[in-house]
Amino acid sequence: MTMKPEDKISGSVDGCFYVIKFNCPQTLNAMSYDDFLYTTRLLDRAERDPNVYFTVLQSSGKYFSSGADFRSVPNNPSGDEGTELTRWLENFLAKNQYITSSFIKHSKVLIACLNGPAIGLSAAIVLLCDLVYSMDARGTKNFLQFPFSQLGLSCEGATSVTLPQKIGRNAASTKLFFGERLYFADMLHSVINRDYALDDGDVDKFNTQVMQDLRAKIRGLYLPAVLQMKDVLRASNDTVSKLELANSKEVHGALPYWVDGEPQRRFARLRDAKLAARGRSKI
Amino acid sequence: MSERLSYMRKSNFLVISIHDPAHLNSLMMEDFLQIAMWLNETNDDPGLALTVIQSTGDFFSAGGKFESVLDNEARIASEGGSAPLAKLYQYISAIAPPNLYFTQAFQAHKRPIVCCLNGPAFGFAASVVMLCDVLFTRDNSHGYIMFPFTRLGFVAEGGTSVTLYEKLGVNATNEALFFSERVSFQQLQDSGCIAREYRDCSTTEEFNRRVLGDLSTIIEPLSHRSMKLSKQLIASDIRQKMAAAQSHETLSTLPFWVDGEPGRRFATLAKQRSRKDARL
Repeated sequence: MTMKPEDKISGSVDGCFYVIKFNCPQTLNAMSYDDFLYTTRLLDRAERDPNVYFTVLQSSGKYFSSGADFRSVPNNPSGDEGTELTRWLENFLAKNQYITSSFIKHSKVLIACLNGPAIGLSAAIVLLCDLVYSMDARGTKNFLQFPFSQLGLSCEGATSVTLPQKIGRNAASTKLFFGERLYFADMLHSVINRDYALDDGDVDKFNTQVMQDLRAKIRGLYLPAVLQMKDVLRASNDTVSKLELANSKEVHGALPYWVDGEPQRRFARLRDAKLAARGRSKI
Repeated sequence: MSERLSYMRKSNFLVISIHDPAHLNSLMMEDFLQIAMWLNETNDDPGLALTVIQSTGDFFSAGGKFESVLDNEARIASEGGSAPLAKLYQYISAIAPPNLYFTQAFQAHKRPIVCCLNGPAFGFAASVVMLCDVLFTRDNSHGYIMFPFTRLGFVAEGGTSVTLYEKLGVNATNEALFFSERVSFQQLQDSGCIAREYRDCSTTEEFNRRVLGDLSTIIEPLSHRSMKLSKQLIASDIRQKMAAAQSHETLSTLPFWVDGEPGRRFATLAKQRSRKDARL
């Protein structure tokens, strides 16, 4: 039985912070489109609240989010191209573009508390955040991953702009073309603002520590100036236009693959492989 | 001419010096404009190959003096009164043109601009550091730059909305500008901003002297014409962005000044400082 988004994801106001928390560690915080869309509704609440200046994404368990929930990607082609076009316009293009756009347009400061790996669209969201704090960047346990090529997809969530922009063009290439892992240790001078180097696995403690540090950082600041600062940076660098253009090109570029059925087949193969592995481990 | 600034021609260098270490080399807006004027006046001088900005003592510059702001606030209050249009007119004149003129002078400068970072730089002075092409530091372990705009109640100026993104990266810039956080020289080093650290200089004079000596040696065999063209080509790539940034920065910061929050915060800081001075 699949849980409803509101059972897995929570949103709450904490002073001038709006905290969105992923609470489904047992599924590694995998997200269906409904889950992502619910998250955008929480973003909306933060956007409309004049007392909110910062939107903080927190998670739980070992993963920040393992990305698309395999179980939510159906592999049942109708055989009719027209039908498939309409279907995937609605279920891929519109949803994917809307979710990404939500993060792009968000005017409050977006902060990600990276307790663990993030994959796919979830990793793209991390790159759309203004500030990123990691729990433990040591070793190879924690990473971002963009398995678009493995899944018959292509760049999503404006990663065609954000990843080269934030880690450099060459480094971005192997991560996007080959789906290689981007370890936290390699993001320390670029994406990650600070690593907390906590190895006790206590995500609640990490999340609490980040909030404490944020409250200390903002003491004495004029918060309306902070929001205007984000706005000026975006205006001067034409950020929103660039990201929205990339967003549009990305979803239009990958639409034919969905109509073709390839991502669905690849997701199904992964799902089967996962079930088989689980079956084997039960023996 | 300001007693805090001077310039001289040293061989084919234009060397601009800040020398008011007793006040941490803090500057009035007129001083920043003076620097900009010297950059513009000497821009086409064929005998010059490099522009070097140096300072004295332990600080590069603590940025704009409180007096600069407070004098302005007092003048605007007395001349403009509280009539909204008069106030707006005064603030636009006080903020937009100086910022534009200053930043544009750096953007349009035909010679590479070298900054000798002997120590920390704040606010507008930190913007100067980011507008320079080549940075030398005296000691990476203690130095930092800081952009306390949000602490003072306004937003980015001096081209920092572009220079910081370009030179430090997006997320690091966000941290520095949203939270008015220090950017250590080490962080500048890690981002590739620092050409060389001069760790074993016992005084700032020695640091300044050695940088000039090394620069002399470096550029002696080079074509100065080639150097200038390279500088102009690189600057050309970013020219549109910098021009747009001036517009965005000055227009974004203006409402905050008109609203009065920066004035209030500067006044509080000045009061705190005079209380501290009185206690010493």
